[in-house]
Amino acid sequence: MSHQFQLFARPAEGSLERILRTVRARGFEVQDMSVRLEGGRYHVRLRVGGQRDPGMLARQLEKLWDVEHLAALQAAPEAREPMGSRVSAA
Amino acid sequence: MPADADTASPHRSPDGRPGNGAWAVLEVLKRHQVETVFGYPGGAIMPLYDAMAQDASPIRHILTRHEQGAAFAANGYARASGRLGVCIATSGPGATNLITAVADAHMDSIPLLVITGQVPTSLLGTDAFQETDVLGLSLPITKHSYLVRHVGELEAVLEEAIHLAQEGRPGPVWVDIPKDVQLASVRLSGFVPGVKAAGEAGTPDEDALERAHELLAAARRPVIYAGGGVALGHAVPAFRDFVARTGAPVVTTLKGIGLLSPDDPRNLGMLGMHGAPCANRAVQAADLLVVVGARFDDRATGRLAAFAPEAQVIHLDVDPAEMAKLRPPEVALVGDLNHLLPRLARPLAIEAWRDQCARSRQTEGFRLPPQRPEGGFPALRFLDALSRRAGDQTYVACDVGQHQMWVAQYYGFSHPRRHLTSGGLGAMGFGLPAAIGAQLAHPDARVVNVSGDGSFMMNVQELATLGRYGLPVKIVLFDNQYLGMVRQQQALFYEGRLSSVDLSDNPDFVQVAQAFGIPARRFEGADAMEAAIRACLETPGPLLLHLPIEREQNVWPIVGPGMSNDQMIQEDVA
Ligand SMILES: Cc1ncc(C[n+]2csc(CCOP(=O)(O)OP(=O)(O)O)c2C)c(N)n1
Repeated sequence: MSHQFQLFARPAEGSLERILRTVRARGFEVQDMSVRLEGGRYHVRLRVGGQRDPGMLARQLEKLWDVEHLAALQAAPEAREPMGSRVSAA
Repeated sequence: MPADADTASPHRSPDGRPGNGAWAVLEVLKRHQVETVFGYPGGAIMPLYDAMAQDASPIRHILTRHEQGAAFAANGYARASGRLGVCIATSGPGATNLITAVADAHMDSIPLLVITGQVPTSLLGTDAFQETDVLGLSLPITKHSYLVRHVGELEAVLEEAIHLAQEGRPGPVWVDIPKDVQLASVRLSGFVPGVKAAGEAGTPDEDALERAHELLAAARRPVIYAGGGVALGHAVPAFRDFVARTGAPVVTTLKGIGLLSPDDPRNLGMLGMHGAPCANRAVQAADLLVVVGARFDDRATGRLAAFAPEAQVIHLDVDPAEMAKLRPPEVALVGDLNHLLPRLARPLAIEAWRDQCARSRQTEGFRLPPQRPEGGFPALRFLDALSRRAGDQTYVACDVGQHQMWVAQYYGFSHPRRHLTSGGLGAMGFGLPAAIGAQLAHPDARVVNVSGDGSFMMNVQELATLGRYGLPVKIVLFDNQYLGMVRQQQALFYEGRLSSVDLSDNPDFVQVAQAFGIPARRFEGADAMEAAIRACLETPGPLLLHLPIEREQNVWPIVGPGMSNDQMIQEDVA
C-alpha cells in the first residue's frame, strides 16, 4: 500500500533526517519524495509504502517538533508519475 | 585571535554583561531554577566548565565518574523530583557515553536537558579530534535536538529546549554547542518561548467525552489500566479521585505502581509479563478498558491480539501519537489528564464485578512464597518488610532483572515517584546513579538502590560519587551470582541451556565498596533479615548490603514470549 503526505517543516538542522527516520523506524519505506525550501520552510511531499496504519505514521510525523503542518493525501496508486527526489532551494 | 581559540575573552565584563556563550548557558539554567547539574568535563566543553569555575553563585555541579552515570543521575533526579534533569558532557566519547541514559529518558518520557560541547564550527564535518555527529546520534533517542552554530541562537535554543523537555509528554532534549559558540560574546535578551501548539493538550472533544460516558454507563466489567503518564502529567490526585468516584478495579503498568495504595481493594496490582494473576485475569475478562497514561507496551499486553479480547477501549493520553498506535480505541481522549479525568468521573453500577475482583485479589494477588530453610537470604520477604517499615518518603531506584520485578511485586509503593525503574529501555546500570540523583533531589529522604550483581557492576564506579558527596544511599545488592533474569529465561524457554550467565567469579562486593570508602556488610541466610532491615533503616550514611540469595530463584508468574497474558506460568517447573 502506498500513502501520500504533504508536510511543512521548519528548515532546522536535522529536520529532514527526522522525517525520514520516522518513516523508516515506524515501518514504512520512502517511494518518492520531493523537498522544496519555500518561504522559509520546507515543503515536503512524500509517498511511502508499508503495511501498517498510515494514520499512525501521520501522528508520529506530526509529533516532530519541526513539523508545522501535515496533510494526508489520498492513497496513491502504485504506479504514478514520480514526484522527483530532489532537494531544491527556491 | 581565532574564535575557537582556547583562551577567550573574559566571561563577563565587570558588570556581568555581556558574557560569552558558556556564561549564557548558566544564566538560562538559573533563570529556570536549575540548582543541580550532573556532568563530566573534557576539551570541547571546557568553556562551560570554566564559566562554572568563575561563577559567583554557581549551580551545583555533581561530578560523576562516567558520563552514563551523569545522565542516569540527572534522569533519577528528574524522576524523583518531577523537575528538569540536566547533564553535561564533552564531545565525542563524552557524548556517546550519555546515549544509554538519554535513550532511557526517551523511552520513559523523562524531562532531561542534555548539553554537550562540540568541536568548533570551523572543524565541523572534518573528522576532527573527538568529533561525532551528535545531532545525528541523538535523533532516535530524543524528543528534539539542536546543534547551535551561532551564539546569537543560543539563548532561544536553550529556552525552547527547556520548554520542550517538560511540555506535553516530557522527554530528553539535546543541545550540542560547539566550543567557539561557547566562547563567543553574547548579550541575553530574556527570551521567553511561545507555547507549543502541536501535540499540546487542547480542550477535550465533547462528542468523545459523551461517547466515553455511554461506554462507562454500559460497562459491566470495566478495568482502569493506568501507566506512567499519570504521574508524569502530575495527575495522581485527579487519578485517585477518578478511581474513588467510579469504584472501578485498577491495574497498573510497571511505571504506574504506586498510583493506588497497595492495600486499596480496587488495586489489582501490576499487569503483564510478571504481573499479578488477578490483574491479568481482570483485564482479560474486562468489557471496557479505561487506559490512562499507558501505551499498550508489549511487556504489559503480552500477545497484543489476545489482550483484553472482550474489551472496548477508552484511551486517555496527552500524546496524540499514542492513539491507535497498537490498539485502536473506541474513544480517544487526548489532553491533560487533570482536565479529562474529572470529566469522566461518575459512579458506576458494577458491584458484582467489583466484588469478584476484590475476591480474586485475595486469592490471586502477589503472595509471599513459603521461606525454604535452605534458601539464601529471603529477598521477597525483605522487600515486603522493608516497604512496610521504611516509610512513605522512601525512594527506591532499581536496576534491571529479577530483582527489579521482585521490587515491583513485593515493595508497596505509596506514589509512582517513589519507584525509579528503567521501564521502557530496561537498562542495567540505571539504579545506582539514579539513586544518587534522587538523593540529591531529596536530601532528607531515604533512598535505596536495589540492584543485582550483574547490574551493579555496570555503573559500580559511581560508588566514588556516593563517597565524594557523602550521600546516604543504601545499596541493597541481591547476589545470585547469575545474570538471573536471563538465566531464568534460558532455563524456561531454551531447554535449560545456560549460556554466558554465570557470575560466580564476582568480586567481593564488601571489599569493593570499602575500597571506595563506602561501608558495607554482608547478611547471609534467612535469619539475617531483621538485622539487614535494621542496618538499612538505621545506618546514618551510605551502606552497601551484600545479600547472597538462592542462586536459582525465579520470578513468578511469567508470561512466555509470544504468549497471551492468560497463559501465565505460575509454578517453578524449571
Ligand atoms: C545494559 C543491559 N545489558 C543487557 C541487558 C539484558 N539483561 C536483562 S536482565 C539481565 C540480567 C541482570 O542480572 P542482575 O543484575 O544480576 O539481576 P538479576 O536478574 O540476577 O536479579 C540482563 C543481562 C539489559 N537489560 N541491559
